[in-house]
Amino acid sequence: MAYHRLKSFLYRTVRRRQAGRDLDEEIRAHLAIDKQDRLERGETAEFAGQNARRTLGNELLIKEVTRDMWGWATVERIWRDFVYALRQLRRSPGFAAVAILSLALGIGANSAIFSILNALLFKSLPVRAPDELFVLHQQSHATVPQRFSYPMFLRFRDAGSGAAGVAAMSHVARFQTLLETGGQAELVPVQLVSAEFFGVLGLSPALGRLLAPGDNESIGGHPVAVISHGYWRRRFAESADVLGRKIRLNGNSFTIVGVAPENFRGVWVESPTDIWIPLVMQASVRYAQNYSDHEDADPEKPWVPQDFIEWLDVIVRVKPASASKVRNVLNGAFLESEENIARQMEPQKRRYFLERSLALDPFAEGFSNVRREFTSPLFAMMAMLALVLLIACANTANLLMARSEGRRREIAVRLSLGASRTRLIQQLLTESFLLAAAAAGLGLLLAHWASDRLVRMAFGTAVSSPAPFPAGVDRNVLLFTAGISIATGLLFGLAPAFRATKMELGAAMKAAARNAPGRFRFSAAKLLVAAQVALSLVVVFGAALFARSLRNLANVELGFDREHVLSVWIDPRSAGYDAAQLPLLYRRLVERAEAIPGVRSAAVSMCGLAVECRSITDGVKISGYQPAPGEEVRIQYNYVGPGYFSTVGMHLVNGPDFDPRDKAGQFVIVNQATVRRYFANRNPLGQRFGENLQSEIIGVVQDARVNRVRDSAAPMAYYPLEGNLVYAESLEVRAAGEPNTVVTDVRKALNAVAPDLPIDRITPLALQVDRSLSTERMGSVVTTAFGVLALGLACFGLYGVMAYAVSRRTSEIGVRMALGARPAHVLWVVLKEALILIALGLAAGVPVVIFASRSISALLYGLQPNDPVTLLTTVGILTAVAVLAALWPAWRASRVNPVAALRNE
Amino acid sequence: MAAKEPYQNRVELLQGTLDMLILKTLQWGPQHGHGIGQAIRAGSGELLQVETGSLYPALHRLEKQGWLSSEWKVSDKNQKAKYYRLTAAGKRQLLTEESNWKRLVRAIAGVMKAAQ
Repeated sequence: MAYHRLKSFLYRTVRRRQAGRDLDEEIRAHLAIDKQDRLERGETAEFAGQNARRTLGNELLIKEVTRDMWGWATVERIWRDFVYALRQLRRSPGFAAVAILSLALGIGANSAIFSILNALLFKSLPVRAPDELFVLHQQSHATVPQRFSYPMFLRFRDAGSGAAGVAAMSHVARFQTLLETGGQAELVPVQLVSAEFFGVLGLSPALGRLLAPGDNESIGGHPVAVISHGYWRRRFAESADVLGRKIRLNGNSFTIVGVAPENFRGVWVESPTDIWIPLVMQASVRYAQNYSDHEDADPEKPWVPQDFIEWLDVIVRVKPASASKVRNVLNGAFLESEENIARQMEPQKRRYFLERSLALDPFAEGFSNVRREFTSPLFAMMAMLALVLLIACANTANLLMARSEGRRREIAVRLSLGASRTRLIQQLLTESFLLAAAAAGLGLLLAHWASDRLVRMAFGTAVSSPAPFPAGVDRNVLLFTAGISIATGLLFGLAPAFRATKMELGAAMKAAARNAPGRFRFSAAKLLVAAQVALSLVVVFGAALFARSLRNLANVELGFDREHVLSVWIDPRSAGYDAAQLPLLYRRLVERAEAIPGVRSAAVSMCGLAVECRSITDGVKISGYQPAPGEEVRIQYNYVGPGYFSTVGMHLVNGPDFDPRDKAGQFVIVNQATVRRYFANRNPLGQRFGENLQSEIIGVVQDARVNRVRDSAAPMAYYPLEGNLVYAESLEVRAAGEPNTVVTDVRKALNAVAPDLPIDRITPLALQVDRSLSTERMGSVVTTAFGVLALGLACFGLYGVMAYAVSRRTSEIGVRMALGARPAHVLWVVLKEALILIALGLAAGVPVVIFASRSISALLYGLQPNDPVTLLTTVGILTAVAVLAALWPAWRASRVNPVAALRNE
Repeated sequence: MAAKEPYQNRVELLQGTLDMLILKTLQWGPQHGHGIGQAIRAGSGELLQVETGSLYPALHRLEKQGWLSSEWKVSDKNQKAKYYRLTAAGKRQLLTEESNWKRLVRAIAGVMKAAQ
């Protein structure tokens, strides 16, 4: 098709040239015949030729109009304009380079950010009819767990709702994975799914089979696995005999039965999945993540038959038209089942159970934990980058106007020769679009290069490992880039084109015509520069806000000692340790770690610091505290080993640390936030605490930001790990000096104690905290880079306009100096003009900044969006840099040699 | 633009009639552009003067429609020229235009007579 078109285009182009020659020939013949007629009628040879030519009229115009009849004039004209524009741009490579580069940076940055937004928000899962997928969502006044039990899932599946399919799945967990061929165990993302999962998504295998309804039957009886195409490629080199091979997941042998289709990376955008196994295998692989349980549940027993462990997300395939009908049926089943459960409960809890109802949320784009978190920072960044693009547009428009100033005579000549203004505007616009297209191409390359890097930066992923999700250039991004490029081309091209072709012909033809010397004039160029200053103020101010906010976050008082602690992520559950083995394991780990020279102490805890491990218990009772009606006392908790507080540097403000000899669950240490919230004026020590008031508060520890740096401490309780059979995830090691120096020794020591315990991460706390700020850092780095670019472009624009103004006024300045003006005075006159422009820009920019920055207040930390110090600093920097940019032309003006300037006249 | 010529006793061509006149002229055999112009002028008793700027675009338009074909030939005066010839489709087109024209003339004449 494309080839055919190209061929016919080439054919026409060739024929077109021939036809053109043919037409020339035809007109020449016409003239010859006319001349001969006239000679025969007796005109002299001299006049016959002249008269023939005169009666013919405007030969070029005739040819032009005749050519129009051929029908391909439009394509032809565009092509000619294109070639002409190319030639024009080649003639001024400096201009072209500056314009294309600045626009490409603007377009590329916008496209890169858009590609991330696109991947998070707009890209559908690569499954059949993604619009028919919905995820069940619980609505309630209270915070409710958003997951369901396995029996509940079965009720949904068998409710006869009319849905085309219902499937359930766990969260994506990292399992210790070992191939039968041996080799190093690695942690691989695995998802447990119901047998219906692949069917509901409408996927077909790349090899073998996917999970099928038979794979749900018996608990622990289906050790089969489907692997992702990527995993197949990385570990099995896409070998077909992968089917039937064994793979060990957390110590259990599974048979690989199939490979998922190539582009399917699971349903979690930022957690690509490599292996899928049946839900009924939960107990065998010791999956225990993202669940909520109830007192009647036993998390150590298989979860599948248990009504009180909620751990599954449920998705439904249904035509959007019948979604509400299906929802009603499912909601009915849900409420009926909840009612049965609630009947066995005490009234307070029953209400909490019954207040829930179901909704169907669209699932076409899949799950994402970061979607909501990322969307507003990304939009804020895009808004700022759009401003940068605007500045680049203004800059290019200015350059174009300066250039068309230089082409005034050429344009005037062409206008007077009969070229229509529309034609000339077309031609000038072609040039603009050519610039925009070149910038778009370059910008796409930039976006392609940058998007994955930005995602990695935002997630704190190492450069060597793959980005958490692919944010490449796809059709949406291409359309977006094309759209903004065309808009850009129009934006910077239209006004200069109209201005350039609007002129008094006579005046323009006179070479000597110069602007009358005189006072400050508001030209379009100067207004554009003022606008650039205003826009760059907004961008630079935004960048400064983000930078300061990041600094505030980095320096926030965390409540623990990040400088001396090494945090080790351990996973005894996946490694196959029984709960009974845990106390010995912990004791030996801590002992060996503490034996390392340079290590002060070590302690184990259920949750690490700054790693999004969060356990929350609700329905806590506190002696002496009367909850308000409907209030649910929710408290985060952690289990910590002996010496934990001193190891991580949290200070006990009241009472002693746990004594290793304390009995299980009897004692609890709360943080200051708990005391403030629940013990207004009372002494917490000795008070009872817990779901059944089973624990006694023996101490108060200082507040710490254990989850996110951004979140100030919430009420929290620490229970002793000693005597409780709890799987710990974290081992903290306190070093005497720089924690990095003991990393190798710690790894060696842990391997010696428990060679089968995978150590996925061993990081200084400072780095861990730092990584949790990756998103903020990415935002700050990008906005700072583009703030500098914006400032640079604005200054470049200012410099250009001032330099141009000075060059136009050389003779005037010469006269002034001849009449005795001192250089310093001339310098001041020019500088004053620049200052007026800067002041104008700032006057326009400051209100915009104060108004617009309010929209990012939620993204800032520790400062107000209209922070006066930041604003003053920004204004100061901008003014200083801009004055510097104007200084050079001003200085040159003050050096004008009056004699030379006047001789030039 | 060109200066206004002094008023001459010429009749402006009616919009759309030039095509018909060209087709009609070529009914008598192939002719080159200059010849067509001269023939129309002569046939109208020097009343109709066809501008070259209208003639050639019209010829090329008619050729594109498929009503004319063209070839380079040497004239009797030993001049090389591009000769236009009426095609079969051109002949049919001429008949349609002629009958349309006749009806238009009758209609206008009827109106003018009644108005007197």
